[in-house]
Amino acid sequence: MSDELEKLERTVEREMSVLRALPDVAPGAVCMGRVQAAVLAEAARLARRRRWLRTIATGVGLAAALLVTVLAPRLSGRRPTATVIDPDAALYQWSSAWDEASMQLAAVAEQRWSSHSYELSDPATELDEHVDSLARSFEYMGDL
Amino acid sequence: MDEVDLGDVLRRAQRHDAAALSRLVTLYAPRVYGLLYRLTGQPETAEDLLQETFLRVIRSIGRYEHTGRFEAWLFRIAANLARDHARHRKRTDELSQGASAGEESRTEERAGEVPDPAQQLADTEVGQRLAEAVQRLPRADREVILLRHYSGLSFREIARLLDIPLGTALARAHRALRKLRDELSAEE
Repeated sequence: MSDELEKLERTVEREMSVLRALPDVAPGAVCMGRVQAAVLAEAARLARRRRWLRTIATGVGLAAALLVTVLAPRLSGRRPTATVIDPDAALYQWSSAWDEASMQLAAVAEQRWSSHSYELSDPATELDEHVDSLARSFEYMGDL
Repeated sequence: MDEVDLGDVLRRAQRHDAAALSRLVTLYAPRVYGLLYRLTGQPETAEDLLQETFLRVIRSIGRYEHTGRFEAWLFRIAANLARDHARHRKRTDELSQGASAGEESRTEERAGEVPDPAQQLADTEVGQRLAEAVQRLPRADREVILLRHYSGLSFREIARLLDIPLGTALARAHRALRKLRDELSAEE
């Protein structure tokens, strides 16, 4: 910081003493109660959303893993043959696809939600729409 | 609260622990309210903005990285909300009154109406005159000195928070404080 700025800052800090006479103002008890209640309600809502997102991500991931396992041989053009399935390999394949789909889904949902957090509009509505859309997808895949 | 305790409270608040969140409100609400009250001049507006400030905090606390200056992040949110409110109010005033450009002085005067009689009774005469003089300051100047007064942040941190050069922040503060001193001296 330049000398001039330092000097100005010291001057201003001294001048700030004039505000010592500014009366204290404090929020009333009713206001504090309202703010506390609103904060706790919001925390509970966010916790519910996180749980719901995890549930949907898990379900969609599982459904995606099933689709990958069922469709992959057909897409590759191979005729299904009677082969001995290695249960460990199949389980590994399912769980890998499940993990990846879950992580991607959670990351996208979190990113979309976080990117809107500072906007004046309520991000809750948009995220609710995403959650509903994912729930419908889950139901559709469950029907397959 | 020392830094170790605050760090622990913030970590728990990031997991949306109810007790930690409640503790943050208890600790910081009085100062944030003070800032918002003096910026807006209206107790009811200050209460609404106080609640919105903490709601914004809880919605984005997951992304907050505690490097030691929680106040800077918190008061930035509060100051931005107060600014948005002032801009919205100015637009509303212009639309409803058909005002031309440069109506900020009228908006500032309306913001200077401090209607809380209970507060006025509790204040000393000098304090009341000072409060009224603060309300008459230009918004940008008022913002800097009130942030310094209520947040405890340095002028360097306030300049960063407001995204203005340090020299600008100091100049605004100096101008505002000199005006307050002159007004109080003139009335004695």
